[in-house]
Parts: sequence; structure tokens; C-alpha cells
Amino acid sequence: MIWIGNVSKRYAKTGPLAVDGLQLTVPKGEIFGFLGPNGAGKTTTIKMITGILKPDEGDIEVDGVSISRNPIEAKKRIGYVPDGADPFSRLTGMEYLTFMADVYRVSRDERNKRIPELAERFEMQDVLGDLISSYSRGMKQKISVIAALIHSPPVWILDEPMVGLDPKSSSILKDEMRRYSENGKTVFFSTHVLEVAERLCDRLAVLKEGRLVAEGKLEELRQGTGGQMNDEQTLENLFLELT
Amino acid sequence: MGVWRALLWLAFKSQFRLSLMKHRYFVKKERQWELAIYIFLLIALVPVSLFIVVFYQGLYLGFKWTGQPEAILWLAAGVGQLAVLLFGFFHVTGRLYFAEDSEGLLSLPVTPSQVFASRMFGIWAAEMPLFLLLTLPGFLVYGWLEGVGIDFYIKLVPIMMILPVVPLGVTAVLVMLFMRVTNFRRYREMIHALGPFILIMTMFGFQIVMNGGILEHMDEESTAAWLKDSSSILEMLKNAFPFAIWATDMITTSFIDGIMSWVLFLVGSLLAAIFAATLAKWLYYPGLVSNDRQYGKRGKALLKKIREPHSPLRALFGKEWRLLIRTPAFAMQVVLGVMIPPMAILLPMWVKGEWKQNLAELQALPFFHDLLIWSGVGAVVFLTGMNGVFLSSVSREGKLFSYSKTLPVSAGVQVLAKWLLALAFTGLITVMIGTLQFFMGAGGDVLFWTFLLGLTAGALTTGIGIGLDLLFPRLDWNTPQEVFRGGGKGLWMMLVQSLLGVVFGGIVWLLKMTGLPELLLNSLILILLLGADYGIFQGVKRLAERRYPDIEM
Ligand SMILES: Nc1ncnc2c1ncn2[C@@H]1O[C@H](COP(=O)(O)OP(=O)(O)OP(=O)(O)O)[C@@H](O)[C@H]1O
Ligand SMILES: [Mg+2]
Repeated sequence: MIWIGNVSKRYAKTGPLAVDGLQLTVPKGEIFGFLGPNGAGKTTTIKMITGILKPDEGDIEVDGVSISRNPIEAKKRIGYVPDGADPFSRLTGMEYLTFMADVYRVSRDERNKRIPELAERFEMQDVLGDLISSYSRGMKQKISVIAALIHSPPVWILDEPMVGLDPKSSSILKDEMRRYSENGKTVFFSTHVLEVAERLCDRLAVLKEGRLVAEGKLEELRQGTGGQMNDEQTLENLFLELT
Repeated sequence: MGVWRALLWLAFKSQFRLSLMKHRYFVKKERQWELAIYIFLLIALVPVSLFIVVFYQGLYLGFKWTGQPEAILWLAAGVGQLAVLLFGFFHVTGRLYFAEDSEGLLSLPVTPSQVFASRMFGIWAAEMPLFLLLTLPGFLVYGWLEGVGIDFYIKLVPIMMILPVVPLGVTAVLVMLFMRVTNFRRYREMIHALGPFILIMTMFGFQIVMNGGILEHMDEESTAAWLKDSSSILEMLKNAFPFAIWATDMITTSFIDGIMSWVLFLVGSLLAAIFAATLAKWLYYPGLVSNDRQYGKRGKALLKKIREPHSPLRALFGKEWRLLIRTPAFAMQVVLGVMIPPMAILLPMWVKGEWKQNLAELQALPFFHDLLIWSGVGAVVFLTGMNGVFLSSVSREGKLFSYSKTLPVSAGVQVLAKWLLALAFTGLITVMIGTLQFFMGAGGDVLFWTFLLGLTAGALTTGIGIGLDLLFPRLDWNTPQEVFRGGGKGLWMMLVQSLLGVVFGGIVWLLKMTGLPELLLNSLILILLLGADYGIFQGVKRLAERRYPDIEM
């Protein structure tokens, strides 16, 4: 579960609000899509959930733990795949994964099971001995996904995860996200690929200029526009309408 | 011509970081004290150039004695060309292959030769001051002492401007070949990181020559004798730098008499430039892309034997260690910082050949034992400060700092890992100092106390340094070299260190006055240091907990 309580953030003291009074709850077992035009504040919000940025106002809870009052416990519950993931380039893939396993205190049995499993699922077994700096864009993305899942966190947060993935990898990732939510865990991700959002998400939120302009199930959103949209209306039209 | 103008202007501006400096000092009005440092450095050049003038004057007199005063000219020209060749190598590597925008130019509709030529123009401009510093005094000394006419000074201008072209061309071709054949990024970066090393070594060489009293020995007769002795070397030099010979010929004879030299000089320089630019067509772009693939153990084999779990602290330490060692710029900083100061002190002593006598005098001192321990501790602290690993503890993370903030490990533990890494190097330094002490005839107790006191005192400095880096981190770097640029933190650290040194020295001295037995006294100081370490650690930990959330990027 993620609870975002009336959060605001501005980068410069006198600058505009990047996120403006955002209120959002993402329950357990749900895949939640976070949409919005460039510069809407999606990455900023995600960075506040993961503890990279400090909200100016409001609080965020992950699985009931406050990120500001109990950051370590909250961070343990998160697996995070950043936007344009470019992890420690001077480590090999395997060194990175064992490092993450150590830091998240994954037991021996668990890591022996999960690392090979995830590596095979994302077809990364062959390159684990190579330096991450030699990875392609998509390979970096995939090693970050594996690293985020190594401790099977209750909350999985991804910032534009489909960027750079080949069709097969993105389909594997979508399956993984689905399987994850079916196990009662939370998946929260931002994306610009509306088909993915449409097919995958249980619920959606649309952000614009730091403010929430719509939130709910796709059908609810369609109705929310006052019946002007019929059922065939795609999310694309809806998105264009809203933003 | 528009393309050329744009490219040259870009090369010139990025070479001297004109936009950045203008923005920093005059628009944002930040860090203006750095300007004072530049001025200071410029002033520091005055004695150097004076020394060079006097040196050339001595040589001139020697050459005159042997009847060939114009040899001073080709010697000066040759020295300048050699320096451009040497420093140009690292300069060219940095500008052609490690500049932030080097890959960005690949996609522009300009030819590799154009990009290459414009960058080389920037390098030429940047190498000019060094070249002039080394070469111009030789020509001026000759001009004054020979009482030459105005045509000498007129010819001087084009000659000075064209002389660096050939060495730059040669060095560029070498660099491009090197980058084409070595594909692995780490070795390429090594070359890049080596530049400051060579610079510092040269400065030491210069120091040694100055300390060696070379100027006192430079009377006419002995210089002439020395020149005669090394005439074969000079002959070799003559062949190695034909352009220096031609330049001499051009400037000392009339235009008509020296026409052959003019032709050779100009055509040769032009050909060198064209040759390098043509080669750039084939070599430059393919060499820009580097290879990081290790092709080591295959991943499948790794999956069979996943390493045992470690504690987060140990995992963080391992990560810090790998990032440091695998980034040549960082590794160099550590190694050089540890190696250079002892060399700076010991080498001149060794050159003068007085060290044996010095040591004997020292050993005869009644307080030799104490001297060994406390100078040892001082040296450990000093060298710890010089290697500077701790001063970049946080900054080294760069853009990955935001990753560290998402880890479920407290800022205190993350900083502790960095501290332990710094201490590991202090430990190495202690071993090095211990070895030195051993050869100076130290006993086991000296080694024992130096080790304990050095390590605890070193922990104090590193702790303070990490605190400084936490307060003023530099995380927005693109190439690792930038982490160390500016050096403001280093100055602060030196200040803090000298202050602490005075306080600490005072305490030790006071305690010594009380006439306590050594065991008791040293233990007391050790406990004092451990207490201070603990206090600093708690302080830095608290600072880290407060600073980590605030450092946003
Ligand atoms: N480091 C920063 N410093 C200053 N302003 C920033 C910074 N990062 C983002 N912003 C500003 O904050 C606002 C929100 O940016 P954010 O990155 O959250 O958008 P986004 O929704 O993730 O966009 P995109 O879809 O392009 O990824 C933008 O106006 C942006 O200019
Ligand atoms: Mg974004």
C-alpha cells in the first residue's frame, strides 16, 4: 500500500510547484498507472516516495510506514526502478545484485533461489559477469528490475519501465507486474505508453502541472468526463482531453 | 566557412571553459575567491621564468665559449617542442576523447577532420603559454646578448606560433593510434588520469635541478666543458628536432640565405598538420567508442556459486572499494597522494647525497626515539591528508548518490563504510611509514606506537574531511576528474589540519613536560585520540543523518 497525503514539492524556493497538494492512495494487490504529460511531476512524486526527495509539505506512507519518520523501514518495503536506470557502472551485474541482496538483508537461501530465477526470466544470465557500463540501455533496465525485486518488496515502484525494452522483454516485465499484484503486492508505475496502462492497470491517475486531474478505474474516468465519451473512446482521447 | 568559424569558436570556448567561468564569476558571482588563486599562480610563475632566463643565460655563455652561440636557440626550441609533445599527449587525450561533448559531435554534419582540427586549434592555444615559458626566454637571451636587429624579433612571432604544430601533430597521431588499438575503457582512462602525475613529476625534476645548485655551477668554463662532454647527446637532439635547427637558421640568417630552412619549416609543419587531420578521418571516430566488456566468467557459472551474504556495512565497503579502484582518476589520486610527498622530501636529500650523514646526526640525538614516533605519526596524518580519499567520499558517488538515498541503510552506516575505506588507506600509509622507520633503525616499540597513534590520529582527520565533504559535496560531475577540481575543500582541510596539529602538538608537549613514563604518556594520548575519534564519529554520523535527506539533485 502507498499513501500519499497532501504532498507538495518545489525544487527552487521561489520556483513553481513541481507537485501540488497531491493526495493518492494505492491499495494492496493493485497495479496503479501514473500518467501525465512531460514535466507533470511524476518522477518528482516517485522520488519523494522512495526517499530521494523530501516533500515540502505532507507525508508519504509505504505499507503503513512513514517515509519521513521511519525512512529505513519504509525503504525496506520498496523496490525501485528509476527512470533511465543507470546503476553502478563500475560493478558487474552480479556484484550489483549481491550488493543489493546484502543491503536489503536477503538470506542465503532466498538469494540463491531468486537471483537465478530472475536472471533467467529476463535472460540476463550470460552477462552477469560483465561490467554494467558495457550493458545496453535495455540490459541496464533489466538488471535494475532484477535488483529491485531481489528482496520481493511489498511495494514495487517503476518510473517509465518500458523505455528501451524490446517487445519480448516488455512483455516479460508486464507478466511479472501482473504476477506481482496477484500475490497481493502493490505495483506503482509511471508510463507514457497508454496501451500498457490500459491493459495492465487496475487503476490510473493523471497528473498535470503537479496536480491530480483524474483518478480511478478506466471506466470511472470515462464516466467522469460527463458522458461525452462513449465506451469505444480510447485512453488516448481521454488523456488528450484531460491534459 | 560558417561551419569552421562555429567549430573553432566552440573549441576555443570549451577549451578554456569561457562560458562556465563567465557564468560563475560574473553572472552568478560565485566562488570569486578562485580568481585570487589564479592570480597567485600567475605570480608564482615569475620566479620560474626568472630562473629559466638565468639558466639560458648560463647556457648561452657556455655555447659562446665553444664558439656556437646560436646553439642556445635550437636547444630552447627543442625543449619547448619536447614539452609540447609530452604534455600534449595527455592534453590531446583529454580533449579528443574525454571531453563531455565528444560523442555528441558524432552525429553533427561535420567531418571528423573538421572536429579534430578545431579541437587541435584549442589545444594549440592552450599549450602556447607553456611553450612560450620554456622557449621564448632562450630566444630573448640570445637576442639581447647578441644585440640583434629588429628583423630577429619580427621573425620570432611566426616561428613561435608554428613551432608547436609539429609536436602536436605527432602527439595527436600517437593518441589516435593508441585509442584505436586499446579499446578497453579502463586503460584509456588510465592514460587520461596519468597527466597530472607527469606534471607533478616534472615539477619535482625542476625542484631537484634548482636545489641541486645548478645555477652556481654554471660559469662559462664548466658549462662549456659540460657541453663538450655531452656533445653526442646534443648531436642526437639536433637530429631529433630538425625543426628547431631550421628555426635557428631562419632567425639567424637573412631571409634569402635561409630560404631553404623557411621552405622546409613551413612545408613540414603544414604537412604534419594535414597528415594528422587526414588520419583523423580514419582514426578519430572509430576510436571514440570504447569497449567495457570484460568477457570474464560467464554469468551462468556465477549463478551456481552466489557469494555468501555479507552485512550491509561490509557490502557498502566492498562497493566503495570497487568504485574507487576501478575508476582510474580516483585510484590515481590515492596512489599519487601517498607517493608524491615522500618523494618530494626524500628525493632532493638523496640527490644531494647527504642523507647518510643526516641520518647519523639524527640517530645521535638524545630524543631520537621520541622524534621517530612523533614525526612518524605526523607523517601518517599528513599523508592521509594528501591522498584525499576521504575528502571525496560523498562527491565520488556523483549522480548515483540518489541510489544511495533509496537504500534501507542509515546515512550513518553509509558514511561509516566510507570512513573505513579511508582508514584502510591510512593503514597502508602507516605500514609504509613503519617500513621507513624500520630502516632508520626504529625498534618494535616505535613501530607499535606509531601504528596505533598514527591510525587514531588519521581517523580524526578523515572524519573531519568526510564532514567537510558532506557539507560541500560535488555530485554533478560528468568525468571523474572533475571531482577534484577547484580544490577549495583541500585548502580548508589543510587549514583545519594545521590547526589540529598545533593543538595536538601542544598537548603532547605539555604532557611530556610532566615527565610521565612513556608507556603511561602514550597510552594517555591514545585514549585521548580514541575519545576524539568517537566524538567526531558521532558528530559526522549525526551530520550525515541530517545532510543526506537535504542533499537533493
Ligand atoms: N532537478 C530539478 N531541478 C529543478 N526543477 C526540476 C528538477 N527536476 C524536475 N524539475 C521540474 O519539476 C517539474 C516536474 O518534473 P518531473 O521530472 O517530475 O516530470 P515528469 O512528470 O516525470 O515528466 P516526464 O514525463 O518528462 O518524465 C518540471 O517542471 C521540471 O522542470
Ligand atoms: Mg519522469
